[in-house]
Amino acid sequence: MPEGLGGEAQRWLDEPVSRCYGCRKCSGGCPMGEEFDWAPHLVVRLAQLGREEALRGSRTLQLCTGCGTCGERCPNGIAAGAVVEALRRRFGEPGGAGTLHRGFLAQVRRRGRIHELGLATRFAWETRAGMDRAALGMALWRHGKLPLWPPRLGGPARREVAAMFRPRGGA
Amino acid sequence: MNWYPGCSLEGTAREYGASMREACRLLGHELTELPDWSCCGAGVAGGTDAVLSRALPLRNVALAAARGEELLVPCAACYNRLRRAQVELAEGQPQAAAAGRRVERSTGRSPGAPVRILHPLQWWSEPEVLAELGRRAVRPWGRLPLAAYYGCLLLRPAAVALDDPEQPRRMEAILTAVGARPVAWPGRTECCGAGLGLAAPEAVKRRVRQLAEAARAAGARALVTACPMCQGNLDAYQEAPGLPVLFLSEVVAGALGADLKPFLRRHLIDSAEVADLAG
Ligand code: SF4
Ligand code: SF4
Repeated sequence: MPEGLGGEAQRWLDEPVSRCYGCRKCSGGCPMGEEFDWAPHLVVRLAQLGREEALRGSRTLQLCTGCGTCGERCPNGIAAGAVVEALRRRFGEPGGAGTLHRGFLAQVRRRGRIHELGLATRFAWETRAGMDRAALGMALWRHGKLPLWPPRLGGPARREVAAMFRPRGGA
Repeated sequence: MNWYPGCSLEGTAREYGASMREACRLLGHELTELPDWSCCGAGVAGGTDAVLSRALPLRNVALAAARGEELLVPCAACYNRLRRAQVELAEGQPQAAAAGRRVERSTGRSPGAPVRILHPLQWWSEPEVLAELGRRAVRPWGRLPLAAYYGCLLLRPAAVALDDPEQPRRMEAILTAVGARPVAWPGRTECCGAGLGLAAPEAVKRRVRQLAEAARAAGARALVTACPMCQGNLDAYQEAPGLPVLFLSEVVAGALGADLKPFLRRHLIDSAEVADLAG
């Protein structure tokens, strides 16, 4: 493969981006395309050109849901959503979703399971979320969907989960 | 049968867990919770650590393999993660292989041992189970028009697809077996907005509005889903008056004679009327 035509990109993106010929089937089916600054076929194109830096902090990195439609429909076996995920690993995940996901992983590491009320409360605190979200929280609460107490997973199981967060020996 | 409830079936989707247990009981199967199960990581860990995103589900695969031949996983996100990591491990995908080693080192259990990860949509749409549903349906749904909504996680990527990813049929088959009338509508495999509800509610509202409008235009009286995230988004982010969003297990349990009130009262959109429409 010629230098600069996705060679470097392919190694870390794990998707065969150099195969893309720009048919835009990925973007045609993308449910979040209207919300993106860079449509899925452009994500693949930028990766192909080694210009993925343009995607740092983008709305695309914030709002791709990982729905898999792009990968399912690509005639060349490229999952634009997987490229987005790889870019999140490289650049960090921007926006509210990034904040939420950091809280999520911290909770899994500490408790082994998710306590939704705790997660939402932390998110609301960190982002100073508005009253609309507080109103939704109250509605969920009234319908008994937000148990107050966190789930209880035993100590040994919790330690197993936490240990998977700390790779040793170069995994 | 061993089952993996996952975090949301004990919280925001607890009526999915409760109605799942009830539907299975009425079908003659008691569900036994997998001891010491942990969070599957949902779609979250992959944005930080590609190995962890496989290791979190594989720990549970290893636990299940030590307990029996199959594991029922009703949450679409958990099903997707467990099954996908299992397939990738079997294929030798490098990040999954590294995750397998991480799980073995951290837990002493092998995630490569065989166990069938089974979603209720697969199980209930097997021909003999469809026939049994028909026989046991003491309160069939009286041809109520319902929109089967699959979403993403049961169909994509291809490695986990439990049906044709573009033209699935299994949920329609189940709805028909319990006396409802599945409508033809174009939103069946579209994304609901997934986990963006808290971070980007306006984007999710636009997704949800499109889906609800399409289902309504096809004449559906309710949407039916087998995914806690789809149900949560459609139930919380529709404009009033919303189209009720039922869990597949509620539709099945209701036909088999269960009292649906304890489940339906947990929905944000008033769904009691739909239950009354049943035969
Ligand atoms: S569908 Fe595939 S080949 Fe077509 S533009 Fe998208 S990534 Fe490129
Ligand atoms: S995975 Fe992301 S980029 Fe691909 S279709 Fe879904 S939302 Fe769009």
